[in-house]
Amino acid sequence: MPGDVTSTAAVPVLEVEGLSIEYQTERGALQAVRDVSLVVNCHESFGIVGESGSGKSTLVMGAIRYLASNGRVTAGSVRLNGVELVGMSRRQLRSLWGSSIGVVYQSPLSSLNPSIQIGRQIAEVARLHLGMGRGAAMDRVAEMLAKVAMPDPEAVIRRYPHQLSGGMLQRCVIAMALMTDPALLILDEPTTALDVTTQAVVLDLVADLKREFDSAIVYITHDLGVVTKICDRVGVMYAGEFAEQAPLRELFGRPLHPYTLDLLGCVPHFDRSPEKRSLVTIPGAIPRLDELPHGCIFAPRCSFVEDACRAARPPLVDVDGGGHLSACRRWRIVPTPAEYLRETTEQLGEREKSSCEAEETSCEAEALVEIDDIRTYFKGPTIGTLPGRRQQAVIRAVDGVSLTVKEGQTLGVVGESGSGKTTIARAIIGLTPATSGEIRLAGERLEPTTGRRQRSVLREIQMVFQNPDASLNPTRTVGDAVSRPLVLLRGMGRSEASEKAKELLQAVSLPKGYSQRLPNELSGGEKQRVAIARAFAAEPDLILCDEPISSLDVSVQGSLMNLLMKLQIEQRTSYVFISHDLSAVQHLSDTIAVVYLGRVMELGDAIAVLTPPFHPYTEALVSAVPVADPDVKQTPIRLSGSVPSAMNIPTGCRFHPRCPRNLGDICREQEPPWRHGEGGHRIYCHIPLDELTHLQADTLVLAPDRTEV
Amino acid sequence: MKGPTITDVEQPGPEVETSAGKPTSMWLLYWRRLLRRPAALVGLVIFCFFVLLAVLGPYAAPYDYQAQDASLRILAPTLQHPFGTDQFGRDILSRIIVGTRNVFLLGGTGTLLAVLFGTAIGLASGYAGGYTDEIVMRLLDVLLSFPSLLLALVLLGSVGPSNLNLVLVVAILYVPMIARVVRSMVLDLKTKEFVEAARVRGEHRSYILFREILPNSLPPLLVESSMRFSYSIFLVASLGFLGLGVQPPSPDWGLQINEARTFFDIAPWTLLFPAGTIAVLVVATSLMSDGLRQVMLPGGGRD
Amino acid sequence: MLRFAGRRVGFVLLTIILSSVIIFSATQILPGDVASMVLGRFASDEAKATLRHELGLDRPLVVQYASWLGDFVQGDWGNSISTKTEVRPLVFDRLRASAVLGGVAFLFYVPTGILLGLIAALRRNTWVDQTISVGSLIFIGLPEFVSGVILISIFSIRLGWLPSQSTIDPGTGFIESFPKLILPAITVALTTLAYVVRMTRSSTVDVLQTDYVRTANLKGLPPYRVLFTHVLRNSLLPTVTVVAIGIGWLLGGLIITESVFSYPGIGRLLLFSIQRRDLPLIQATALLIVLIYSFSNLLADVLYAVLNPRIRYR
Repeated sequence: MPGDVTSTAAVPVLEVEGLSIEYQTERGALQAVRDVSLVVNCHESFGIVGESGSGKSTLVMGAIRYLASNGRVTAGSVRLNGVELVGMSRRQLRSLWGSSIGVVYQSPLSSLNPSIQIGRQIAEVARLHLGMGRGAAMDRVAEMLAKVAMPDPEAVIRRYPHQLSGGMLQRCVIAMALMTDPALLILDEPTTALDVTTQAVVLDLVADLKREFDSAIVYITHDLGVVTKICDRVGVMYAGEFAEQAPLRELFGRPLHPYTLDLLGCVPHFDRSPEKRSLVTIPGAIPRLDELPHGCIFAPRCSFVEDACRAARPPLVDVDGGGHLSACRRWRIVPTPAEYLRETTEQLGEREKSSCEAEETSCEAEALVEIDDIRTYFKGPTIGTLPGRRQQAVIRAVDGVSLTVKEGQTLGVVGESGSGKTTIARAIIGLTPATSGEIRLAGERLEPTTGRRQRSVLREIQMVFQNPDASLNPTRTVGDAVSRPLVLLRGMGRSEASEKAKELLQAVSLPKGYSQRLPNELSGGEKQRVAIARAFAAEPDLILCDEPISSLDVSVQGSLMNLLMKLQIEQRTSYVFISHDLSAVQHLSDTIAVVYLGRVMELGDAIAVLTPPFHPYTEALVSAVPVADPDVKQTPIRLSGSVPSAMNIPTGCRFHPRCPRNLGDICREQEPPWRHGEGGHRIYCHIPLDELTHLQADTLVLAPDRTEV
Repeated sequence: MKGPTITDVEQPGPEVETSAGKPTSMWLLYWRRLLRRPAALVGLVIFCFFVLLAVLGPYAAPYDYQAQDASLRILAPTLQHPFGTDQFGRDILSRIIVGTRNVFLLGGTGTLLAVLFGTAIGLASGYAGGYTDEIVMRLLDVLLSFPSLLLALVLLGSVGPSNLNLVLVVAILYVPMIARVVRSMVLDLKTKEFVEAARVRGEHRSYILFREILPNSLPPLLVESSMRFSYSIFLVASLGFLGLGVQPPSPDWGLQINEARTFFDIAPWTLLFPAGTIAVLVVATSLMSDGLRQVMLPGGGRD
Repeated sequence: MLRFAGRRVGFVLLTIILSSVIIFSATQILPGDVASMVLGRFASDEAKATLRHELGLDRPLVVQYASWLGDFVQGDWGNSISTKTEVRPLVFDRLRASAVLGGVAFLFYVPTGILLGLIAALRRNTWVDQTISVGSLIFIGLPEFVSGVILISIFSIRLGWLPSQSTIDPGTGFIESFPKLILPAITVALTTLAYVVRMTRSSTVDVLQTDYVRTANLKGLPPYRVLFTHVLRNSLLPTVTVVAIGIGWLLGGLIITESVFSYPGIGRLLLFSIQRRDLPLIQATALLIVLIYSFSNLLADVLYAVLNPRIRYR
């Protein structure tokens, strides 16, 4: 029911005051959340941003009194529509959960019961809190599913969770949370597990529903970009406290806490400038809860710290009287983001200018790796029950990809899950041989599998893997991991290798002493640094980076990207950087390949790919990526449906069933041509480039470069 | 606030980056965790005590286990004979102590053989993959689809009971189970990035198997082996009870119980002490192996 | 689903065939000559040879195996050497007795096991849980002849409530023989009971920690409805498997338990036949046990698939 926004705007729905939450652990009582206050008004959406360990989920779950059995609220008060929750009995809380409080979770698949039909699960809420009968509840479910734009709600009701895609499931969970028109809707990283294009659709949905329902929204996320799409106010949490709370635009435009400033600076932004710049880094790590510093908790990592900061914990105060709260004593001297970026980041190099008429030397860079029309097919499951009518399905993971990696440069490969981007890398390195096609390294044809490659060839190509926890052998020390390639591939003696390994560790900014440590004593970011050191140990010409930063916190991502760039410049190593994150790819790469369902859709230099004309799929990606800058304007181009199975690739242009710019028959029936633009920019589409440029003029309007303010 | 109810969440506490801290090896970590589990510790202590008895054997026994003395027939427990004497006047305590060695030798050697062969099969089959793996595993599954006691009885019945045969039967019974555990570890580890990293640097197959995969399969292998060992005690004693185990006059707990059944009404101690000893040892080993499982494979591990 | 079931059935058939090979070859290497055993050591070589020929023992092993398996499938299980009677009625007679004992045990351990497992899971990490968990561990490890003997010493010798021996004359009614069934049934149930307890506990604890139970709690459902609608449906799935496989374990336990209590079941028959080296009897009993065991495994797999929508609708 749409409410009158103006009249109810200032009515507080959730008031948290001085809330402290404690966990009993093996290391004693840990204060996970300390003296935290926040207010969320009706029709307002409040974003809580923080890295892992910031206590953002604990705060919200503690506020609604749903904590692990070893956690408890030690102080403070929580009021929902004026009713105090702290001290409430379980029974009373249960009458609020699901009726006044709706929750949407991170992983939609695991938060629905696998063995109950979706309709029944959603109807449960209506039967419990609205006292509806079975039939009425089901009608209401269908109605709600229609409201969350679910195609064919009647059919979805009878489905089991594993039969739906992630995006569909998240709609079901949202519908479930909104069944009772709750006063408070909590969204806990609802899109983290989804692909970017699906995420955009879900975010649009939440933004729409926000207007339609009378709920106050609390949105928990680690992603600064996502909050710009949804939130009116944002709070930044650090180690169990708020560093800053402010209206969205103020927080991004004029942050008044050094941590916020750092966070904004460590995520890459879309830009069309030819220079490669470093990102802001935050030294050190989030303090352990049992070793919190005295005074300001951010002081040990802060670039504006002075002695007085360490004396006493600064309170979160409304510094301008207009609802901008900062926990920094020195908020007055905190610079603008543009100033800060200019001072703290440095130019690391120029992007390759693809347009060869510019007569840049870099454009003559020699091709190091040439991938020529490779295909990787896997055997799929057998389809059909009857013998004789059975068919062996074929999974076409990579289906005709040609790419070139130039010496000393980075080729970025971007695509969503199921695009085949990892399979391309595995074909290059020889872990998953290509079924057909050829890969050449410096003109020499590469054997398809590692087992058949010469040691000297193996040395030339190294890889940094996605999962930091699995990329190091848990039973071997860090020193062993780094020195092994030295011994094996560079023929060093043991002692020489271990000395050299220590140097390599220093080169990736890890202390020498780490060589004696086992991987389980390292944080995720540190493990990935070791993996990078190990890759560089072989002095390769090419390093394949397969989503090396995706599982890490944004600040760690930033420092790893800086490291990769620094090492590339020092060593003149080429990279293939694979990621689903277009902004990270764009930040690091000279050339970008956009892949979809095993094929390259668009190829060009990093600036060209972010400038119209776009391939319609690139266009959708560009408009879906949540940019952490409210001044960037993106036209909502949304994809329908989900990525088709690689066993059943659509005819004609494989993107046509989801393409918002589908021309009809021609796209369905004919493979599109490569359309060549300037400087090697290519787009695989039936629509001519001029027309695309014309159609897409407003798709992505970047803010003026903030470093040039 | 009420006590814990089923609606309580079992989320872990706050996540904290654990970058700080002194270097610790995995084994030290396991040991520290073990120290926090009193049941497992008790099991470990009792187990070690029995190991000691097995090593010392006759030297730890107060009397000669074979010495018969008609004047001492069926004596209730006294200070001289704490567990009493049997129908031949032999000291029951001494027979139990000396019997420990048989249990450990037969069950232990059998388990050890099973671990050796099972590990080899599991490593080879898992790493080879494909049809080889499929066939090997199906064959092992067939062995697994016998109730273990039945297979033991049929095999022992045909080849006749002897210590060597007993050891072999234990080994045959447990090879498939060990092989399965190792194989599933290999399958899991084979696709781990650190193993792929080793392949990418051109490591030899044996290096990958023995330096990368095997060390990381040790915890589950150790847990499985200790569980197998506790079952082997069970099995050896059961076979002894059925008359297919250690042959007389060698002391065997199962056999002791079987023989004592006749005198149960008049001399319950002849039966209760050996039965109690088996119970204590088996329970101690399973407490220990269960503890190992919780310590080494927290969260994971089938039950 | 159909393919899955087909594959399982195929595997079970393969298992049974391979098992029959193992059983057949194991019994072939039994020491001792059947002919001398039947006719006595002093029979003439001629008579022995005639008997061997009559029994078909002079044919190649493969032929013997094929004819044995063929006869077995057709229901001709041969004559017992020691009792001189037909094997099939004897085996089925004993199987019936074992089924009664196993049935009583089953009815005891399944509900008790699930209940105890649930209690342990719901009160996890309290002393109740500790007691049940450690207790179940003890019973898993305790051989049946030890627990049987202990039960006898308490309930027959000390208290004199129940008989210590369970020899049952043929033709005795179930009600009359029931007191004799109690102790062996408890003995044989204890081990499997412990498995059921542990499986129920661990799978319930796993389910209680899932996100969907959190969802159910935060819907505001009362605890009992969370338990019955959301938890049990998923957590009892592995338990169902254990219960079905447990039928097979029960058979192993029966061999010893029946011997402890002198109960006339199939386990004791097997033991008897092994001691007497009664070839046809060993083969029939062992193969029958393997059959039951394999089918209980098959049942477990099929039940799991049928109850699990993730497999059912794939």
